[in-house]
Amino acid sequence: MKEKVKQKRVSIFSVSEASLGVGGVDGIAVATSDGGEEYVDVKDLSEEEGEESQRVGIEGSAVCLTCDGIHFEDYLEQREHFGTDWHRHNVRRKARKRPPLSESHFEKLADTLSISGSEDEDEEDREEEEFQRLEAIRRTPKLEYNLASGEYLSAWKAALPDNSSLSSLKNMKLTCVFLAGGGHFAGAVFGPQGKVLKHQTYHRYTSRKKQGGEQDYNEKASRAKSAGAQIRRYNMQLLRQEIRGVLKDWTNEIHNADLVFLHAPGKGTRETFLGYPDSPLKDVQLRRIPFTTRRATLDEVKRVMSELTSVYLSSQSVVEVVSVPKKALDVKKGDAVTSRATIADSKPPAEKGTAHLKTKVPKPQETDLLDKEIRVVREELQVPEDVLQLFEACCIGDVVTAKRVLEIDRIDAKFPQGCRYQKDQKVDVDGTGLSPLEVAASLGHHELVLTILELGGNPVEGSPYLRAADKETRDTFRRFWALNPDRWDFAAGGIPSPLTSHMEAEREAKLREKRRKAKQKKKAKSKQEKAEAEAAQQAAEARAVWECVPKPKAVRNVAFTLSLSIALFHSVPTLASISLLWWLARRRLPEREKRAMALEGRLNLKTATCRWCGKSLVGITPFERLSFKYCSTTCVHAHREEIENS
Amino acid sequence: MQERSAVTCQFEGSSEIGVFSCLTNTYCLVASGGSENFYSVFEAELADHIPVVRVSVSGTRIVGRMVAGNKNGLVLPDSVTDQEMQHMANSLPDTVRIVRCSDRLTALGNCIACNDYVALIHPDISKESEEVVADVLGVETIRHSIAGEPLVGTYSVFTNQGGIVHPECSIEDQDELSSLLQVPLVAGTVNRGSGLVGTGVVANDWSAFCGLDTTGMELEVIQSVLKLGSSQPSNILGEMRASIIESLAN
Repeated sequence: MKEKVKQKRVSIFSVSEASLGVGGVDGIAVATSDGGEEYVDVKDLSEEEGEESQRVGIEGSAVCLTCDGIHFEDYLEQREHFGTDWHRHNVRRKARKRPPLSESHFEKLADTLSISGSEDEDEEDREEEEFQRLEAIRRTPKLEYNLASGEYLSAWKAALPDNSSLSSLKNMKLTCVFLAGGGHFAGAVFGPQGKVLKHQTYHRYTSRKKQGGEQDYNEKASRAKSAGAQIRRYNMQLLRQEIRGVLKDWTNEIHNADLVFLHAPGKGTRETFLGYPDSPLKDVQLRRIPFTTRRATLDEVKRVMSELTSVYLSSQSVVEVVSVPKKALDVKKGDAVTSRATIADSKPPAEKGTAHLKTKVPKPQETDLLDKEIRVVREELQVPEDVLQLFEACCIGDVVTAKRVLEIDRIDAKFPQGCRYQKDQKVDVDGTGLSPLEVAASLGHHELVLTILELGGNPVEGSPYLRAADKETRDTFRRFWALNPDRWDFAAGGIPSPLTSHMEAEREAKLREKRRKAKQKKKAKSKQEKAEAEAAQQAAEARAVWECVPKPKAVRNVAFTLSLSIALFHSVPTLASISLLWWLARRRLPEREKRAMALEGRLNLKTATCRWCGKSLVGITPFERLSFKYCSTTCVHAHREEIENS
Repeated sequence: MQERSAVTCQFEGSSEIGVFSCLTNTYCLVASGGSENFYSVFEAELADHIPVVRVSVSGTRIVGRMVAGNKNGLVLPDSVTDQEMQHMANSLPDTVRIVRCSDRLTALGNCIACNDYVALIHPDISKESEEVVADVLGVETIRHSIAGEPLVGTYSVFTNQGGIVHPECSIEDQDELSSLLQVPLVAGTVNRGSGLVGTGVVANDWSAFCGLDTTGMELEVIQSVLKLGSSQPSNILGEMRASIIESLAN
């Protein structure tokens, strides 16, 4: 899994000349297990390989072509060799199209990994990992230096004029960057230290709205005759002329430039730059921009330039895609070096991997130089420890720590170093990002906000008030204004007005009044509801009394139904009200009527049985389906099935 | 001994006879259930000298691709049934050791090419299987590939006299291999240009069988490298001896 590696970025121009050394990091430093460094000279490597390849051609039949063409006295020796683990390992490497290992190399490998020539899944995995790692190194757009401190210093390969040394990057005199696409063009000539000498941008309406793509992209399918298409076609031509005009004006600079970067995606755009005989870009070596660029504007060109002229210091290797065991890494370094050297040398990969690496231990003074260089780079990148602590405290709302850092360590709360908190939780030195006050405000730590403000935090710089997470935090700013009206120009920070204690008291009183009113309203409402309910009950009682008067049955039934429906209508708890009515009615009934009602009840009870199992439904709420009543859902299902089957 | 030359034949219309037969100096295995014709070709040629046995291996007829053997022994894949093994044990000479080999790679005929002294084996065969092969066949085993292909049994065939390898095998590789095996090797084809020499030719020290599609030119190459038939220098000398002596005498 590829993880995002945290990197510190610094512009190459801010690193002092001395720190880079006179020759720069020309050799390739390889970290060894004992922490020392070995220099591997690229030239030595290529010479060695040349010798190796010459030896292959010598006559003789008792050879082993797998193990790099070793010769034997006779076939017995040859057969013996074919039985060795070394040969077998190489045979399997060959089957996977890998270069063979030399004997000494293999022995080292065998010691650490305890491999043999036989099949071993683990070993294959390891080999696969190693292979992937080398591939990753080959493909990565960055060149990486292992430092003695265990850290990695990387720079864009495309940005190194001589492909290998950082000093060449630093000493670039003239650089041209051209970006184009989507009707935009931006070009600039940068002088020493990345200063803009000349720049030019154009924008023409050439890309079709909504559909996207420039007009000529659409022409392949059909040549549109619309007014819009004609305008765009005209604009494209115009833009092309303008761009070529700029190139013509800048011909001198282009020819004298150390590097020329061109980003012109699309055939049409590329032709604009290169597709005509007098193009000055034809005579120079163009370089691609090895990362994504946005719309071609001057800002973007500047960003591209600053990115290209930056080096990165990280604790992890950026080319590492798989986690390789430490041991394997150390042992495989020979291969890694060859691969890197090949890149640095920008020659086609020759017969690699087999050369006996000639390593040169650096002289003491060289080591010193390198150490010094790294120290300087590190120092320039360093964010002070207490600043880091402060940012951490701001993130978690730790008032005590923040206070300690600000008071005791005397860190200016305005942050003179320009240290800023970045979105990806890293404190950087380049001046973008959030100030501690902003961090605290955006996370709603109002106590901390107050602390920082009291200790000199600037509420005007950036927009801490606008970032405030909640009302309390915003009020903290306003209260602070009320208390220290002359300290800052608070209005400039977007703070609407100060909040005095008097205002707060007023606000509080208002709130109280509001609450009181709401309470009163609620009380009145509940009183009214109560009265209504009482009235309904009285009416129901009156009706019940009326029912007690003996009447013909039909009339009584009507009255009963009526009272029931009224009761229901008033939405008094239904069951209770019915039973109450019934009880009231019954109490006042003559004996004969009582008996009749009881009989009716019995009859009802008798019929109230489960349609399926015949169980009494008294006291339970029956399940109903169609016109039937059941005691349980199983009975419902059983009966339903029976009905459906019959 | 009879006139030595390569014989061409077919197995049910297929010229890949190496798939359906296995020939060594002490026995010959032929797929059972095939047409009588195929069997009788082998029988006519070999029956006077060695047993020609009709067998199946794990129920299949592709015996030539499943087994590896020489005069000392026969290695069978794990999937072979007990009955089949018993049948082979009964039919083959008592000096031939028959052994099962449990390897991930079961088509041993494709993975092993051997004569009576040395065997090329697939680079991925397990160490245990390699030991079994070396022990049973009494050979020195060499992990190797032919023209970059690990299936040595498919792309090469060799006897104690000589051998043929896939035509894409480079001269250097041939030299290396030839020195290793201590037999002359030639890059050649069978069955009208097929590089699958292992399936096109079965051979022992004194006879060879090729697919019916094999051209005269290919036959000639095979015979000469395996030292069969009348193309032997010594034979030519023998035939011409009379006239030579006569001319010398004059």
